[in-house]
Amino acid sequence: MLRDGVARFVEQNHDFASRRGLIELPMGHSPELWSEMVQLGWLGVTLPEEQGGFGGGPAELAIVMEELGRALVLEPFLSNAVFGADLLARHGSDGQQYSLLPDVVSGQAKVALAYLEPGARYNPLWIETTATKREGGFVLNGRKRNVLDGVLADKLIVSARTGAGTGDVSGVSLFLVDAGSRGLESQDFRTYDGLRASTITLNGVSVSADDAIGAIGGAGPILEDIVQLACVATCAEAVGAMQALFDLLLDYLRTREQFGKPIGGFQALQFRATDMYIALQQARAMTGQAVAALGTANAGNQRERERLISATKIQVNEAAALVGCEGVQMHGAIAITDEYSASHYFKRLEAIEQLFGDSDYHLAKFTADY
Amino acid sequence: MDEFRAEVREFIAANLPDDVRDACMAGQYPTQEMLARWQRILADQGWSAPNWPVEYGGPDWSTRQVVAFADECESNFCPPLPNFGIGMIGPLLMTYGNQAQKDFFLEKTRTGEFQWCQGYSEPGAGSDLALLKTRAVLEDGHYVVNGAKIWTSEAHHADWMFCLVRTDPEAAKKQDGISMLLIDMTTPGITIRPIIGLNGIHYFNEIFFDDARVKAENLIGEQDNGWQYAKALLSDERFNQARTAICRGLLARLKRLAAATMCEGNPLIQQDYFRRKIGRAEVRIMALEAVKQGFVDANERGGRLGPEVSILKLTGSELLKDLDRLLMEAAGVAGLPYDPGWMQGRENARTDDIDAVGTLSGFRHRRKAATIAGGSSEVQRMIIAKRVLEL
Repeated sequence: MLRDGVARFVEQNHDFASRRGLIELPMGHSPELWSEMVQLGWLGVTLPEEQGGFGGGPAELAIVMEELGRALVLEPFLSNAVFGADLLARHGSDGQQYSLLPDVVSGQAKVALAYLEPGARYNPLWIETTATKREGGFVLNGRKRNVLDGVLADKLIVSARTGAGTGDVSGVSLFLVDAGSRGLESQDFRTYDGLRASTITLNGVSVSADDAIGAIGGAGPILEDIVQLACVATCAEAVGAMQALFDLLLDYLRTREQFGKPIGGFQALQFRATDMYIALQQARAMTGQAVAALGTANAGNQRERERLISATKIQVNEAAALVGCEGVQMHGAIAITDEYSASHYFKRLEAIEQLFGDSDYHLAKFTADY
Repeated sequence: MDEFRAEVREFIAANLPDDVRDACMAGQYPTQEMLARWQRILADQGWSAPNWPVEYGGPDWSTRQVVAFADECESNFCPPLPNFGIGMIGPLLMTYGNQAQKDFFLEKTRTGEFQWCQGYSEPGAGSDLALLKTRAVLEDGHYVVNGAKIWTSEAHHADWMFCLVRTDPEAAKKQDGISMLLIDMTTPGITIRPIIGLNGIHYFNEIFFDDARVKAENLIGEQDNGWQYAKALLSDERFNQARTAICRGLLARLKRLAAATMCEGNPLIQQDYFRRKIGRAEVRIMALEAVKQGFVDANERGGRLGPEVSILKLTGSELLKDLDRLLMEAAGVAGLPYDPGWMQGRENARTDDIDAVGTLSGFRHRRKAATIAGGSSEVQRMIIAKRVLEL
């Protein structure tokens, strides 16, 4: 039911032509479309009803992401549903849940997660940004890269180190920082897949102790947890994007004629389409398992779950590379143009390979205890 | 050959303008003005048409020297020479053009006064090029041209197009009845629709001909024999697709980027898994160079390039594409920022910081075309299977 609703909404309100136009806007998205999505309550997709949500969980989140991926929607859903609503609902202080969470769910305050650092590659715990205690709060110094939707955010969630060594899970704190804070500089970029990301520099930015999410020095597991959820959600988005690109290609293989027949009649292309189909099925099935593991209340072995999520991202990355590259190559010249959607799917899929860990990062995690 | 290379290097160091070198080093597209300026400088030195004989203003270099020259230009951040004019139509005119055509076109092509585009592909004729339908009918000393061409690179900067048209729709074989015309791009009846590429930059075009009148004297060779002339060009074009110098340049850039990219406290290049990826890429470049050298040697001994030259196009273009992908992989999320304005050298556009990573994706997305244009990898495999292996 949720899937049909999201699919219908997206179909009626967003198409490829509008995507091309939105990419060119300074903010890179549609405030109208966003406010309609917000009004439908999607930002509370993982929240219990008493917190203004649907009472859903990772499975419902994945459904929305898959449908948004299918249409390559540009709106800042992941940032606000996962790094905003879900994070605050599970780990926010009473004050944050009372004051900020309703604003996030209703779209009045937008959030972005500033966690990744230039030296970290993909490890969320590789934090060189420091939070130094001073009266009534902390002072933040450091640099964050690839802050998705940072240009839109009213509040940034910034990871910083209040203790222990650079890669340790202990000594990590998360702070809510006003985007307009003194000492905070933001360089905003378009990314090649049509989204927006920022590099954030923190030069002595003051925060109060009340702005901490989770315990001071104890937010490492929270950060890991939320990045895992975002990783799986992004896998679901990739599955939607791959399916759409594959459908487009199948249609082309059936209708484009060269050498006297539809090109789909050539066995060389049939076999390659078959490989894409198999990769897509594997990615979808693995994503389904990862979603289910996240949704289990008693998740059991933490390490098993971590391995499953890494395995899923590896499989999805491989499928994204195959479906993305072949989705362009088998179309031919038409797909290397901006005016044909295959190129947009290809670029999004290639970007997704880098988000929340590339395959080598996850392989290292996956095989850590061999 | 070392002496020759040193001479080329010295000339580049003394004559390549700083702004042109800077743009190329930053990974930006040189502007049309920069390309023209550099071609003019080379033309004055007699080097702007490296593959041409001396009687047409070329340096009369051996194949080995031509390849070495291209290497040195690429690794010293020179912009490319215009392939359609220098690489393709020039040699074709020398072989099949009449004296008037040679006199009119060759010198201006050499100096860059005439820029060219290639009118081959059509909406319905891509890999199966011989299906082309653009019609040319001879009427009172003019060919009247109607139809459409597509994927016409750089047509918006071109003065002339060498164009395949159908002059005999009744011919028994679809390869017969095709002619080659040289068409002035300012001819009334020609309209250009820009096609924006994967990287957001205008490179391709669709060209419409609506009763465009082309003087009959601009026919190459004989009417209905154009396919033979086009085919003669293809071997050279495929040989030129083994861009070993560009591959070497990308490999160097990959090593620099992997050394500058930190991975949890260590440079990425010190990670074993990534070193091996770079190593594998280098081995593939060596294999391409080795096979290419074999073709060069055979050519120097007077042999002609056969259909097996498709190996170079196939492996060369696939390798370029994989090197680009590896660069993106090394850059990680730092490679995500991209602005087409920056890629084209606009000052107000911005990118991130390390080793011009902001233009990596622009090149990756531009070169996605390498395995599709000029005969896709699929077409090259078909040629090797049928004409080399005789399967």
